[in-house]
Amino acid sequence: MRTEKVTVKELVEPSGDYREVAVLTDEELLLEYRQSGDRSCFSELVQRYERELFNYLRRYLRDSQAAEDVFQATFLLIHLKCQQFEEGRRFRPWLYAVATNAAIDAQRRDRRHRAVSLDRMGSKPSHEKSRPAEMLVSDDLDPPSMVTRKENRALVQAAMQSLTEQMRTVVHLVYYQGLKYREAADILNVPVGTVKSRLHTAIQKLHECWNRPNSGTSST
Amino acid sequence: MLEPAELRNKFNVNRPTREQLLGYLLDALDEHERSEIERRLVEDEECRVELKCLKAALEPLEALRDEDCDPPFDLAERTSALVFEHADAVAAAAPQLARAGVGGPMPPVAGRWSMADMVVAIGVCAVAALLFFPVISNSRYAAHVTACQNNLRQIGYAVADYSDKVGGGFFPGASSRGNRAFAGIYAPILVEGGYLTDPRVVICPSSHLLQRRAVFRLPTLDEIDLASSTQIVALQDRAGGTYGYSLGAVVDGRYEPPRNLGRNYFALMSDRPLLYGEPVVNAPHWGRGLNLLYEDGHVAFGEAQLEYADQDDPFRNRRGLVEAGVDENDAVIGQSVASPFRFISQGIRPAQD
Repeated sequence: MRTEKVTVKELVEPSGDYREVAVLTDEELLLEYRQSGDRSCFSELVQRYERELFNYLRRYLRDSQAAEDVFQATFLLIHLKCQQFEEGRRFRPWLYAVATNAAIDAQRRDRRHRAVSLDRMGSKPSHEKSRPAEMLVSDDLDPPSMVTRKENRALVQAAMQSLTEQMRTVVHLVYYQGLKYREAADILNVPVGTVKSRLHTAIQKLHECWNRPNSGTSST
Repeated sequence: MLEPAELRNKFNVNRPTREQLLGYLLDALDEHERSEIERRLVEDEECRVELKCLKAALEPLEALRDEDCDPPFDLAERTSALVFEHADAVAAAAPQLARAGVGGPMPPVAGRWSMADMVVAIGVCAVAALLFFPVISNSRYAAHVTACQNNLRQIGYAVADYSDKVGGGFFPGASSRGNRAFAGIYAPILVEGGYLTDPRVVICPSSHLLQRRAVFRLPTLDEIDLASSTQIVALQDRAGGTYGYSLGAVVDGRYEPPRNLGRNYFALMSDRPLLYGEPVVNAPHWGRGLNLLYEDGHVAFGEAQLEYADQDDPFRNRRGLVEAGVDENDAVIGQSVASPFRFISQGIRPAQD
C-alpha cells in the first residue's frame, strides 16, 4: 500500500544518500523502525493504514469507538511484536492478522463487559438506526432512495450477522479489504482451501438470506 | 469432431470451481490461477454464465461498502503518540532493556531484572492495557459527555442571565444581516458582556479543538464588526466554539433572535450539528449522539432527543433548511458559521439591527 502523501522526513542511508520515508515500502518501513527505532517510519505506516484499517475495523466491529480503540491497540501490538515480523513476508497481511485478532478479543471482552454492566450508555451499532445523530445526516438522494438504501444496508448487515464469525471474517478480508485467498489464509492461520470454502459458503448463505420472500434486497 | 476446448467443456475437464470463480471476481487468486481462469472463461460459455451469476450474488454486499468514511480526527497522530509514549515509559522504567536494544538476550544479573523478566512484565502490561480498553474507553466517553453537559449548563445560565438583564426576554442571537449574522455570535456577546467568565466552555471535551483549548481565543465583537469579507468566515467559524446555536425565527414577518419562553421542549443549542451529507461517525462523542440545551436550562443526550425529533427537527426549520425557524415554535440550531438567512430575499424586516 502506498500513500500519495509525501512526508518531508527523510532517512539517511549508509551511503549517505537521503531517502524519503514515503517512497519506502511497508516492509522496509517496519524493518527500518525495528533496526533504527526511527519513529517517522512507524508514523508513516500508521498514516498509510489509517483510513483503510479504521474502516475495516469499523465494519467488523460495527462501532466507531471500538474501531478506534482496536486501531490503536493494533499498532501498539505491531510495535511490541515487530521483532517477530519475518523478513520476506508482506506487512499488510500481518497487520490484518494482528488487527483481526485484536478485534475478536475486543468483541469477546465487550460481550463479557456488557453482560455485567448495567449502566453502559447506548452505543451498539444495532441501535444505530435510533441514534439521534444519524437522523441529522442528510444525503443528496431523494428520501425514498435514502430509505431504500438504508433498508438494504440494514438487511445486508443482518444477513452478515447471521453468518458465523469465521465466515464473516473471510468476507471482510477478501471481499471488503481485497486480500488474496493466500493472504487471508495466512492471517487466519488456515489452509487456502478453507478460506475458499468459507467464502463460498458465506456468499451462498447471504444469497439465500436476501432472496427470502420477505427480504427487500434482491441480488439480481 | 470436437475441438480440444469443446471436449474439455463437454466433460467439465479442469472447469474452474465456484470458489475459484469467486476468487477471480474478487481478485483473490494468485497470478497463475487467475490466468488459467481467464483462459477458461474465453473458451467456456457456462463458466461465463456462472461468473455472471456470482457477480449478481455479490452485489448486495456493496451496500456496506459505501459506509466507508473518514477516520476520526488525528487518529494516526494520536496512535503514534500513544505507541511512542508507551515505548518511552518502558525505556524509562527499564534502562537496561533500552541499552540492550530490542534484540539479543541479556545475561541475568543477581538481584536485578533480566531481559526475560522485562519482556514478561511488558507483555503483562500490554495484555492488561488491551483487556481494559473497553472499560477505559467507555469511562472516557461517559466523562466527556458529562463534561460537555456541564459546559452547556454554564452557557445556559449565561444566556438566561443575559435575557433577563439586557436582552428584554431575548437570548443573544444572530443579526439578520451583516458581520454578526451567524449563530456563533452568542459567545462573544456573552463573554464581552461578562455573562460568561471562561470562554473555553464553548469547547466540547470530545472535540479535537480541546487540544488547542489552552491557546483558544474567541474573536471580539470589534474584530467581528471590522473584519473584511475574506476574514469574516474564519472568525464566524471560530466564534461559537464547537457548539451549535439557535438561528432565531421569523415571527410575524420579522426576524427575531431566540426568545426566552422557558420551554422545556425547545432546543436552544447543542453539540456541533452535522452538515448535509456528513457521515454519522463525524458526529460529536464518537458518533454516538449529542447533547442539547433546552430553553428552560436542562440538558439531555442521546435518546432523549428522539421524543421531540418526530415533532420538530431541531437542526432544520420546517422547510428543511438550516435557517431561521419559520415561527417561534420552530427550533433551528446551526453551526457557528451558519446564518439565519442564506439568501436575503424574503423581504424580512430585521427586528434588532
